[in-house]
Amino acid sequence: MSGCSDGSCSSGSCTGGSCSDNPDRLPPGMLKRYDLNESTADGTLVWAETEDGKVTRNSAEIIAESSRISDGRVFVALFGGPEAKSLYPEIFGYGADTIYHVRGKATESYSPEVYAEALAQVAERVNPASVLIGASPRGRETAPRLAAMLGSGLTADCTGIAADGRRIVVTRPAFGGVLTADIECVGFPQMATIRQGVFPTPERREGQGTAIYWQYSGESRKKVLSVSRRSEKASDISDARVLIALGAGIRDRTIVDLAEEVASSVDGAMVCCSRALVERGWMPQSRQVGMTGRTVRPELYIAVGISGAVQHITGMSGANRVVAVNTDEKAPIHGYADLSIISDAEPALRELARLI
Amino acid sequence: MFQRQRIGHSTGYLTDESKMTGHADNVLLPYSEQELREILRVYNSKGTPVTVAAMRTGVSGGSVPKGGDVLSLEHMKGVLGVGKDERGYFLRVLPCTTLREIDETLARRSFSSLEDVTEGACESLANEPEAYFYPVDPTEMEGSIGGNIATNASGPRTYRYGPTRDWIRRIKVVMADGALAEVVRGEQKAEGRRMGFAAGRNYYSFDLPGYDFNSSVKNAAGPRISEDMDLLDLFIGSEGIFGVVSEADIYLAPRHPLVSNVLFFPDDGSALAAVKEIRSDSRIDPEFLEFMDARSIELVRSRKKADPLSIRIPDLPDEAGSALFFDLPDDGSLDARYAALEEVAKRHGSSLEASWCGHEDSDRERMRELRHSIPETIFEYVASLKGEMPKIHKLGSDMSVPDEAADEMMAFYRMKLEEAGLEYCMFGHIGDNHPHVEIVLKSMDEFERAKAIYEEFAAKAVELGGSPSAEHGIGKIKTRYMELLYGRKGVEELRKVKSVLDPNWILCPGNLVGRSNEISDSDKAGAGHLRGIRGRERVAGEGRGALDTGPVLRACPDEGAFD
Amino acid sequence: MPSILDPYCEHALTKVLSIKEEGDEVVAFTMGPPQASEALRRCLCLGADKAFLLSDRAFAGADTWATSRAVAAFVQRYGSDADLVVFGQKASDGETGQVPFEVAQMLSVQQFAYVKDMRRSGGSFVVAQDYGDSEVECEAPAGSVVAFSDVDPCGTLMSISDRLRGAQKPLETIDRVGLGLGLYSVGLKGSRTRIVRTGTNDVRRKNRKAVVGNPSRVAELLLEEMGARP
Repeated sequence: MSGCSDGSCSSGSCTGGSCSDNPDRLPPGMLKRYDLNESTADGTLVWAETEDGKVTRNSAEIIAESSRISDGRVFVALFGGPEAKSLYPEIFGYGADTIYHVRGKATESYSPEVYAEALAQVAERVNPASVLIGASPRGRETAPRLAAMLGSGLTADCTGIAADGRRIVVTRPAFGGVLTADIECVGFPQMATIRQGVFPTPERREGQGTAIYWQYSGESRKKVLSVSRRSEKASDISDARVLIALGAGIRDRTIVDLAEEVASSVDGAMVCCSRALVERGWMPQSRQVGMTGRTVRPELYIAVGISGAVQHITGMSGANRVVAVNTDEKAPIHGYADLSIISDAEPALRELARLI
Repeated sequence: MFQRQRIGHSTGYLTDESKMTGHADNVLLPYSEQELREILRVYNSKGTPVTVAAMRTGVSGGSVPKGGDVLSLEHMKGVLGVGKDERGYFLRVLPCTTLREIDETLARRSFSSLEDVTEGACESLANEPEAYFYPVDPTEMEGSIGGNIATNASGPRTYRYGPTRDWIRRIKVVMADGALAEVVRGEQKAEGRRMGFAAGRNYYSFDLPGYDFNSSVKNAAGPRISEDMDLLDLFIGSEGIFGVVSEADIYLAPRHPLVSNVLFFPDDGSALAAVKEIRSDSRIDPEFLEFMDARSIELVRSRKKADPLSIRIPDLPDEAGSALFFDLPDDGSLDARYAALEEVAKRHGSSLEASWCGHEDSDRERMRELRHSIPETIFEYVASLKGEMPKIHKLGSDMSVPDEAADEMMAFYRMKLEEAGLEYCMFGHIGDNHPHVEIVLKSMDEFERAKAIYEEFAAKAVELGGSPSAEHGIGKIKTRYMELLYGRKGVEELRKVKSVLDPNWILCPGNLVGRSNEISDSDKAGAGHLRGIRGRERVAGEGRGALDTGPVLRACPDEGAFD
Repeated sequence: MPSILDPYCEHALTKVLSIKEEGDEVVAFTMGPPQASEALRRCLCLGADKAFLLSDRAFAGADTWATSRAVAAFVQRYGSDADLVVFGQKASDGETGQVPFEVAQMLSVQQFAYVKDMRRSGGSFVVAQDYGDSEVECEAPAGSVVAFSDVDPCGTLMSISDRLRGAQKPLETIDRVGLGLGLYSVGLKGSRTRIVRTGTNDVRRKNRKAVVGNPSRVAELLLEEMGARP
């Protein structure tokens, strides 16, 4: 794939009313000046990741957001056998125009090498202006490989995206989370991985569009010795209604169990934590909220003993209501909380566990 | 106006890390010096006693109330300003500021929000090439500076930097009747044994006790009384009985980078022999020296086995039979120090292979965790025993002796404990000849014997020119040692000082000295331990998982005095 | 800023050292400013045999692409016969762990992410990966990229002799020319993304503070918030 040489790609297609007064705007796909060095890339390609035969929430969010912010076409790459056909109406419903249904023996089970190559083939075919992938474990692994194949710039773990014609500018925390950086790619396709929870979850409805089979003929070289699926899927903190978040201020390890106990008796509540507790080994990484963990937007977020480092704030600022319990009146968390209780968290949690 | 709350069921105010529980009606929560003075004025006129408390991290019950109300300074905290005098930089802080807050403030190295006590001090401290720190390190970072001053706290770094006393520049003290005194080091001194000073409209004049405080060893048994003593030293270490500190200036020292080290030895003897050599070898010159005996190593191993994450260190080497901890300055001299250390290690069956060292903060923090894990394990254990044996509370073996008596004291510990057939572990500040001895108890019978032995330890320490309370202070549970150290006369003289400064005896009743001889009498009864093999109850302590070493107890002759 | 060895990388290194056999050589490398050599020195103390620091003023401002480019060039020049190229998957400063996989593609080798454990099996390596919903065991052929995504809270502590030995081991700095890369392949100029603007992350809320001394009162407040009744 060749990228356009610099930022002068002037295409920009717009059907919305807001820019109809701009005479430079041309109909979609049409360039103002036919420059052979100018890329004709347009539209967005999204990998629709599936899990247990369903499109993941992360992918659904990205498809819907792509169709909302850009006026180009939305292409979706979908892996799977014939059973994946039942997902078409849902994917179209989110706003996809065309589905590339990738099939082939090697794609039956996931491997980053094969998936990246298949996605690269589809990308070469549709020549998208941007490729967006969910920042899931598999997405984070496949996206960079794909970016290296396409020669694309890749921005990982974005927390926001804005489109101007076919060009996108993505936002992500930078400099240790102190600032946010707006980043654009030099050339096409532009690539980004986007976290779950950054965009609102779209409503599920049926839609229609074009579906194309894409035969992948490559072979997987990966020598897999064994696969064991986790029988019981750990519930995801991003689904919780109430989150009790524990931070470095918790010095007694038994508090973690107490918090779990409290959460288990409150409907829809779960316990999460800041990075400090993961590094102490007190909680698994899947429970970490923040820049290097999850992004959550629960109804209520109770930050207990969390000082409020920007890295953490990045992951929880979308919460509907935030309550902070902290002894330090000057902790930065208070700036991000609706209610701050200046109190020692440990006895309070003990008391709470007792009450419940 | 001041805030007063009924204590009711929130028992937090009634206890501290000694795990003893007292009783009180209300808790008083002053937000400012003004309110604090108001409280004392009112209470003094009513004659109602108040027990001053801050973070309640003491281990001798100093902040446990014995009737009356609790005066909790928890809202009087924060760093106020920075100053500089001829000795160096100092920080002005409120009494309940914790050592952690002080540390964090200094680590931020931006003092723009603080006030200049002397002109331009904030800016000049921020621009110093090296970071500064407050060097007194009683390991408990949640302790308050007020508490540290009241107990003259010390810790591993006392080996090099001395106790809290050496780092206080000035304090403001609210006297029992609400009068305010400002005490600056070097400004008011006694003439011989006669002390006089003014506070507000009061003028106090009194005779000092006739004894001399032993400051040649690590000692936390009351204030440093001596001829021509500084007034400041009367308040430092007085455990709140003379006045309440409402503001303090603490000196800072430049922080030089340090390397933390652990050196493992095959057995206790070799480590202790190495201690002597390391201490006398000027080429090594460590910041502090701490010891961990074979039994303590076992304790760590069993705790790690039960819960690998409880102490964030790798598994201890199999051949480790005891260990020494020490910090060395991380500068150009380090290689030479290590070379000298290697010679010592080789002579005593160890080598630099059998060691850990940490240059980075995260590693040093983990090694500190290891050091802290032993007392912590024991504290937790004592707390967990409370259910079965409500009368238990922690009381430290806390004796220090001069260098030349170290061997004799060690031999005495060992002889007495072995004679009594007790299992024990020993760890702590060996550099100051101040190891903590913990007896691993298996029955009530052993408990009684342990109590007896501890009294003998205290007497022996005093006989050898040491202190029976090197760093934990006297509080309420060791008041009998005051008489052991200073005799009836000394205690009586101290009582007289108290009667002058606090005529109604409202401040911290029970700390250091009781109002009359009752307490030391009851101590005597408690100390009549030798006959005390009562009952043969076995303690249900088997199979306790994390710590299957059996119940660990420290002697407490006057246990139950507050139940 | 002191340069500290990332705990993820440290864990990766200790895993590698734990399966090191006689005759194996463990080479540590990183890309960064000169002070990053401190982190490499730590690797040497922990047991790596030699270390390379990829450092050049021209490397400044590199994005994922330009970083991967330099790392791939290093592996091709200095480690083309390496059995494995191992990374710690997450750097403490918010780097998102994309570099290992771009490198894998640039070297045209297989990649193994989220590795928790690694062992030898005959002449080859077996890695255990954890994808969250499933665990996979694979055989990693020679030259593969392996990215560890775990930390060990009870990680290694080096001995004094380790430290003294580590100080003697070779640590070499390689610049752009040493990697055979052009000025437009590295750093800001070689990057495929650029920062157009930075902003502050302002999501502040109107805050109400309540100082509560009594733990049971705090518990009641929290219960109220959670909409649960005891």
